[in-house]
Amino acid sequence: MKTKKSIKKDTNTDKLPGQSKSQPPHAPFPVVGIGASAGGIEAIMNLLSNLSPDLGMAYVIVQHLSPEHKSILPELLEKKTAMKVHQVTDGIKIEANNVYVIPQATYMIIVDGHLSLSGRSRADKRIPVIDHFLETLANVYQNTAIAVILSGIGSDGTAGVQAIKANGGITFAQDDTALFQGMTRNAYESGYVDFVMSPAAIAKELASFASHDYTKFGSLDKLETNKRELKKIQSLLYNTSGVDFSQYKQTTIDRRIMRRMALNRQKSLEDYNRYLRANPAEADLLYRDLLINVTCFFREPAVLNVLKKRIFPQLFKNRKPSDTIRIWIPACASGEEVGSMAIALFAYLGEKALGTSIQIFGTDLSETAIDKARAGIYPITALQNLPAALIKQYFLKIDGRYQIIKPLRDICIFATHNLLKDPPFSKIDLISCQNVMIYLGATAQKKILQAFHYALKPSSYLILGKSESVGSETEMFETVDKEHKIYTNRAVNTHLPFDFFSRPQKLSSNETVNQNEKIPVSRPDLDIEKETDKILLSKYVPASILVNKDLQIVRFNGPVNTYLQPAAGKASLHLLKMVKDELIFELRGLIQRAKTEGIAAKKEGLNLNQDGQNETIIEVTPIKFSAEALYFLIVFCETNPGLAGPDKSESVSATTTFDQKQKRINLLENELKEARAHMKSMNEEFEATREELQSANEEILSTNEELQSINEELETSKEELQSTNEELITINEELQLRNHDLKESVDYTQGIVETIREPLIVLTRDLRIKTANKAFYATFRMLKDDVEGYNLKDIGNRMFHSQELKKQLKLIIEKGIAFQNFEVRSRFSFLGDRVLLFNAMRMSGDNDSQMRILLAIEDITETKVNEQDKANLIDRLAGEQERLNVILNNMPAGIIIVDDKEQVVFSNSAARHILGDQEFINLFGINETLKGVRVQDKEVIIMVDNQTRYLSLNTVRIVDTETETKLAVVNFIDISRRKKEEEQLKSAQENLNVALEAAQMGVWDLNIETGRFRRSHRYDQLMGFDSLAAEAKLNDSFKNLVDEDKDLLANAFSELAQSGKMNIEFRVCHKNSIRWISVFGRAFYNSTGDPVQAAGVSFDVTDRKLSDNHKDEFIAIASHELKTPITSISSYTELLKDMVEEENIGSAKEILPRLGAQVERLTGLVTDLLDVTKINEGQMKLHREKIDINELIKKSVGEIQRTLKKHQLQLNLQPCPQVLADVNRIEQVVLNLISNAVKYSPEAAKIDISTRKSEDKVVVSIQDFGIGMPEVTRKKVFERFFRDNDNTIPTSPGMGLGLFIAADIIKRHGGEIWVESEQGKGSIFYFSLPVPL
Amino acid sequence: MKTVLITEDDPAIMDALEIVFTRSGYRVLTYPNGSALLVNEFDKPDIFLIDRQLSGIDGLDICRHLKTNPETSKIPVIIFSASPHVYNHAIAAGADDFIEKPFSNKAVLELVARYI
Repeated sequence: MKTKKSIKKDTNTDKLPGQSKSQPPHAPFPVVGIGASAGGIEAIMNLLSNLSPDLGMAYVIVQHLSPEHKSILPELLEKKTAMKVHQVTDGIKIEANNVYVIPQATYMIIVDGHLSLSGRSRADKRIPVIDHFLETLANVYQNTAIAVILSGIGSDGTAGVQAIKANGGITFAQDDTALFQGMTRNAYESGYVDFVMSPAAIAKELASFASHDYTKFGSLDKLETNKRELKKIQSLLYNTSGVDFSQYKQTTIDRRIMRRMALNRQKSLEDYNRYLRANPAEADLLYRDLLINVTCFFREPAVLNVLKKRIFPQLFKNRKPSDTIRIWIPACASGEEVGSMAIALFAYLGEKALGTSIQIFGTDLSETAIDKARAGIYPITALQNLPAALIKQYFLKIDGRYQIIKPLRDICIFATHNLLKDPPFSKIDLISCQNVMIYLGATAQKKILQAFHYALKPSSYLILGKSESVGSETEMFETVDKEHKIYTNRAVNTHLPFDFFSRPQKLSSNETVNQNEKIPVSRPDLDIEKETDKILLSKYVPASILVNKDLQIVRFNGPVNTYLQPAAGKASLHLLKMVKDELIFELRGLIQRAKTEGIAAKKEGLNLNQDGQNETIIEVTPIKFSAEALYFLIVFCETNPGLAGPDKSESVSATTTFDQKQKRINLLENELKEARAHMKSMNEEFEATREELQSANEEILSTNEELQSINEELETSKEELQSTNEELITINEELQLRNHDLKESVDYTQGIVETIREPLIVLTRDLRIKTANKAFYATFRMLKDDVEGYNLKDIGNRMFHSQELKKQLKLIIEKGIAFQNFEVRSRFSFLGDRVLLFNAMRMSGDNDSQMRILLAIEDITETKVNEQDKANLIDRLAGEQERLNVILNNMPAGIIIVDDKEQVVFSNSAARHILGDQEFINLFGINETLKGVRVQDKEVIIMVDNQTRYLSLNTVRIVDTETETKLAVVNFIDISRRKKEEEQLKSAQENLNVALEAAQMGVWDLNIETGRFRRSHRYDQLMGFDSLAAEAKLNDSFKNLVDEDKDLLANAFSELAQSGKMNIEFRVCHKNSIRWISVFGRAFYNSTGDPVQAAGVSFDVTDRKLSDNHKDEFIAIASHELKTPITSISSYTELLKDMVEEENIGSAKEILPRLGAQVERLTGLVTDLLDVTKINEGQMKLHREKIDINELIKKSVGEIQRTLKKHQLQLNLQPCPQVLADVNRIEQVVLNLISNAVKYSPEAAKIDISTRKSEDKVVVSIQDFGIGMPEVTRKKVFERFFRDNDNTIPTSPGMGLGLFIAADIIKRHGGEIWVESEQGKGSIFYFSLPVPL
Repeated sequence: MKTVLITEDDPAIMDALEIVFTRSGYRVLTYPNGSALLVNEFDKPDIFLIDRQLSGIDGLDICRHLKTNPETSKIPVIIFSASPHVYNHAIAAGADDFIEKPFSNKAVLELVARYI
């Protein structure tokens, strides 16, 4: 048996192969999958040419083909076979007696009788195409699938044949006739190949299968009727192999048996049974076939759970961080269990995993298995027990397969190792050896368990398969978990039962695992001679012992008991521990001599019994069977020196000196005894040392084994690196070649670019110039340094700056839209206006940053101009005449053309309309015109239909190019209406001027665009100028404004343009006064809404302004003055109330007159106010009647005099005529003037009042001798709301309305009022009233 | 007995105020035009009541004068006027309070009581 990995009983029978989920198609013919690499074409042709075309099979050829080149295989094959050869197309149906060839650069799978293709790229070339196909073939066709692996390099196909065989199919591999043996040998060495033969022989063999029921139908019907025969076969297998296959799923077993039947061309089970018994080798092959298995990850989840829960915690419990956890998995096959262990460990450790030193040794006999394990790549079927999360975490998907991730692979060390022969590993924490032992005999089991015991550290763990146990070796192992077969090792010493010195370097393929245990098949028959020898030997042969070179006793002959005396302590077959002490020294010496000299060594005259009767002779003979196998035969011989001793004389003489001799003998014996004792102790020491050495040696060997494993790993890695390196070299060469091509292309392109005459530039993505050709520099007169690296728009005085161009370029950059013949007009300092034609396209660039834009520029100015001119001219000429006519006949101006004979040669409709049916040529100055004198804007008056018409005319001389006659062109317009309007306008203007002057308004207009400012003289005056220069600007006219109003006006003017109108009042300093001026203005807009003109009027509003101010002031004064009596009234009233409540009538009586006075005062104030209101509103009505003014004064003075304490009113009244007046109002005036006189003369004692007649009026004067008033006050004293603000004069009650009211009353009567005054001396108030006629 | 010094150029108002304060138990000093206050010719009262608009004198000037004079700066000053806009000016001039004319006797008494 080649490999132990097959020695695995699959306890999970549901997972046995041959239980494919997909149903075989209805294609009752076998399909032969033929795999070969490109070099295997000869083998394929050889095979096909030997195939009979009517075998009823289909052949699918999967060849490694170059992805680039079309395969000509179908054509080649057609010549070799009568069958139809198809190049496979996707979905082609498979039919018997047809050949199908895979096309290049594809994967092929077989689905339900059809071939399906999928593309593969160059990068996938390492993917095994043959495996890929064969695996699907095996899955679908099961036992009707046949795989043939022909010449080829690599290992593709091996996994395929495994799948085919595991599913019950038949597998072939080409023998050493293969040109390339990589694929075939690999397949063969994997152990999954049934037949190894030449293509011709394969063809022949295929023919025999074609007719066999097994491959033809794959039916089990026939077998099921023969259960008895199957049982027979199974019991035979049990006898020969010791494995009870009844535990296996029967259909699988049956299928496998049928398969073997087919392979051996046995028609029935009975035949096969007979064949099996006759050929023990076939029994072995059947046994091996039955064990072909597909293992998988997490096959025993229960065990892994126990590991995680119980064992791993123990392993990590007393572990130092530097300690390495060492796990050994023997017979690991392709490493699934190792992977499972690693995953379980990683899952257990979690994040700590990477920091933990872990080594998992996976060993197996099969190198191919170990190679697979190292690669760590598995099909999805192997992962079916794994949860998806673990797959995602610990596997990488590579080409549809799954590879264990590197950190896991790094902790797994795989090596080839023979469990039974090679030294075990050492210092292991955990050994998992499941389902290995059950296939081994008791001795081998014991040996392995010993090896395990040795390999494990004290108190470490061993895991066995479900149906395995440590058996009798309970002294070495103790059960930890009975259900899951987990053991721990006891602390006992064991030696390795191994022959360390004969480790073969390479195992021959015929070797079987249990070679050591092999029991001879045929026992020797009883031989009379041998039996006789045996009797003789037992009777006469001297006692002898056969030992091996380690002095282990192999055989005893004859009566050896005399010489043996087993030492106390541990039982041992070691010679020196079995023989009597006296012999040890002698024997050691003899053996040593025999070993070194290679011949028999002999020692005589030993006295064992000390009786001197018998002497013992010991002879040690080396027996050499082979270079390694050295044995020693030790023969003991008894002699009686008295009878047979050769030295008689010596003994005679000896008797004579017996006493002396005896003495000496005693002495010597004593000496000898001492020496022996010494020797013995020496010997023991030596033995101890030897044992130590041996154990050290064992350890070294184990270590060596480990090192070898690691070395193998490293070599594999090295090979991988080498192959990667080779690949890199190939790629490099290819790149160099490309590089060369590229350089050539570049040179070529550069040559073109530099020689063409059109300017050409290459732009980068950000529109910077990468390069430009010579033509560019020459055309645009630029230098390389000023161009390269600069933005296109910035170079050469921004001659290429164009938004449109930029937009186009952006389109190229963003969307890759090239543009052609894009025109740009640009002005060049040295070329003038040019029309440039741009063509651009985006060049390559895998990414945006490498993007380049090729921009070709063509100067098409000339062409452009010429083309356009020509086209335009034709168009223009074509429409010229018509257009001219239309214009001429529709224009309001009249045009007539007169020749030198004064004949009208042309007149337009306007001319005819204006002139009626007359010509008036004499009026138009034709002669002057024909002489070359132009008439311009000449006004002519004509009479048409009795109406006066005004014409404005212009003439010009032209020369008819054809006839060369001179012509006068007269154009004129009828300005009659304009004339009329002008006149109307003029009179309107005059009217306006009159109005403006009357209103004393200034007018102005402002041209907003030019700033021209025209205004009337009145405006200048209003603005405080006597005269202002005509060309003065608007701002110049602000010069006399009071400072705080200057900005106000300027702002109003600037806002006028926006708001459309202005209305503002401001103050202007005139010569003697400050005047309030108001300006109204409006803005005028053109058709586009821009302000063009502003115009307005301004006028003096000082009077109104002042009166407004006075009004405001008055209200304030009135309010204040009214509040004063109200305050005292309110206060008195409150007091009065309190006093009345207190019934303090006396006090109340005192208050009452004071209150009354205040009420009177308030009434007076209110009356004054009412009067002013009446005056303002023009409501003061006079009730005139004829009165005598003197009577009136007398009456008034009489009233006032009573109230005065100090002043004496003196009257000087002259007779006066009666006047027409309102008695009450005049009395009011008189009272007011008198009370004023009293008020302003507090220190004086009299007031003079007089009347006199003066011409046609009566004059009244009231003179006081008080403080008088200054000139300023005197001027204003009759103004409305005047109040003397001179604080030096004590204020008297009143609002200063009295004089205003008085003046108004007098004026209404047609009289006058005035005052004369001198400060400090007093004032005289006069008023006059007209005497009615 | 607390002393109230009043300047008011309207004799009627002055008369009424004098009666009001006397009746309420104050000693009343009357200064019709206030010029005496500017030259410090007055008896120191417990509170000043000053009319804004006096004949020829601004009551606020008197207030400022009193408030800058260390001898009177601590004495409360109340300004009264017929114009409501005087309030801010009064406070700016250092017056402690302001009352608008016309006022009720009760209001002016309460105001004074608040300060003395």
